[in-house]
Amino acid sequence: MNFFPTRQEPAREERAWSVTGTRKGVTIILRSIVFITLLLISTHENGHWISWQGCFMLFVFAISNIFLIFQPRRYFNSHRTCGWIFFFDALLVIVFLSVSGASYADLVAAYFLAILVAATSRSTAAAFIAAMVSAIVYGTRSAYGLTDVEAFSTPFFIRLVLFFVTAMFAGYLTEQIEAERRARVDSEQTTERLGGLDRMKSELITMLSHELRTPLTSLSLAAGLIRSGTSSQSTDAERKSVEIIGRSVQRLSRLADDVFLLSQADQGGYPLTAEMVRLLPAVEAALDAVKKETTGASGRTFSIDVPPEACALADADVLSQIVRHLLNNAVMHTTEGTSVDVSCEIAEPGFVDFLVRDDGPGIPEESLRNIFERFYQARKSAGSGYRGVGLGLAICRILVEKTGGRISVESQLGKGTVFRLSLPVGPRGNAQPDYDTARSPRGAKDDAPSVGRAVR
Amino acid sequence: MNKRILVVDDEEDLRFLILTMLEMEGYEVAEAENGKVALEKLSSERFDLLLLDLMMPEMDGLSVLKELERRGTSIPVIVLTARVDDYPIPEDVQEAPRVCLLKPFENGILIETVTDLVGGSER
Repeated sequence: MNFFPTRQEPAREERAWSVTGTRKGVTIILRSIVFITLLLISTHENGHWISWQGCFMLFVFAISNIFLIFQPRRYFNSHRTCGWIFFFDALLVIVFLSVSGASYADLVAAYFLAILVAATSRSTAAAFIAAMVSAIVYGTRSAYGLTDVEAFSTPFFIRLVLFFVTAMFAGYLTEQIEAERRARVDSEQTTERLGGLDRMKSELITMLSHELRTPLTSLSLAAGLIRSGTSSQSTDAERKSVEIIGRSVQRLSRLADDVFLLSQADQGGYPLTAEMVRLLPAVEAALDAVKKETTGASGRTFSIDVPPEACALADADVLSQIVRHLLNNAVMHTTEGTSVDVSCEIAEPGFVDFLVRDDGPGIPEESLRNIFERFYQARKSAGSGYRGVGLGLAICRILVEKTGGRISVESQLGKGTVFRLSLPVGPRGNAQPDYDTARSPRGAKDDAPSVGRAVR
Repeated sequence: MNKRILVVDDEEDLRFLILTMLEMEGYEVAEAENGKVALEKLSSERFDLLLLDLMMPEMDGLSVLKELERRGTSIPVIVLTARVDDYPIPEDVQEAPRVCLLKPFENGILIETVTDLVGGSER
């Protein structure tokens, strides 16, 4: 059930794609740069441009790069894949340098070390340090004349730059991959946790509304037993107390009904039947219930102006429930002495409009927009004192929409409020009632009893 | 001979209240705290009506209904349930009269339903 709608998760897959796309491009371009630079250095040092070794390396490099280009971008997603690419590159460099006859052992060792550290540490900073160490070792050896190039010469600096670029790129890549993997795991866990919480909330509400009913039944029966046992000797206070127990049971079970209904509606199912219902009996039933259950109803005057032949296509119980919520709302948010009028009119073909009007304090304009939202309370306290949890009008809206109707509200501060309920009068009305979704797949709903009624 | 009613519910309080009410109406009553006990009593004694809760430990109400169907017993049943969709009884099980009462119900409704199914008590 979705009492507190969670924000829609952005499509993670798409984000991952774009980052991975960049990574693919950068990998291919960077290794191209490294290889071409190495090739240039070696040809320069060997004194001739294209050697057979150079051709061989170019060939292997081109093949491997083409292979990478044709890989899906997802291929570059894993740490292991990138590790293999760098391992392959390092191997290629070693092979090339050894077959080309130059003594590049130090360079290769430094290059290999920097990449290895970067790839395994998974951080750009570590890669930088690795490149630093390689550079210092290489520089020191050069200074003592132990390497192939002279210290602080141009080839020397080119090599140093190569260390840094390659190592830091390797570090950056592995860091990115790691961060992305962690984010994915986190977000998967969060989604899972939210799903679990939502499920728990649903189960809790269903269970709660279910579990409430057993003690309520006991209470109701116990009150009934006491009532049947009260004699003329029992005091008014005793009789009144039993009455209060009965009324409270009614209110609690209505609340259990409401909450259960919302949880059902969120899960997509609430059983409705479609039939032509006379409005007047529904209104009278609702008014009776309100007068009986809502404290303060006696302080308002009610008038009903509904022609007895007025009908709507709805579920009789649901219609009564909608009207009850509207009347209840009118009582709870007005002051003593307010009059509440119920009337009906035909404003557009195919619909009958049903109006609940009060001359209470009215609703501020900024609240009108949210008034059909769950738990929304326009004013925490009106003259009669604030009561309720703010579910009544939300339930009204859900039920009205399921019936294929509309509900709207007009209000002026100080002048009162009018709730307008438009209900379809026939299947040819503009709105098609949402009845078929209500049928249970088990096909047992037809036998299901209506709320609070015994059904054979 | 008086009408005999078996009340099956795991809530002791509720059982007590229903028993008291039915006794006051003059019915002869027996109780069971779960489906297993209920079936034992049903096979050893004669009852005219079964008041059956659905959610019970050991053996729930639906299993009792299935077992009754298997045995071919046609005893009227009032199912006491807290939820509308607790009552997914297949259509072919509907031989004997079955009524579903949604919790919470009032004394009057329960008595009325019982009277409808077994007739008034012979008091």
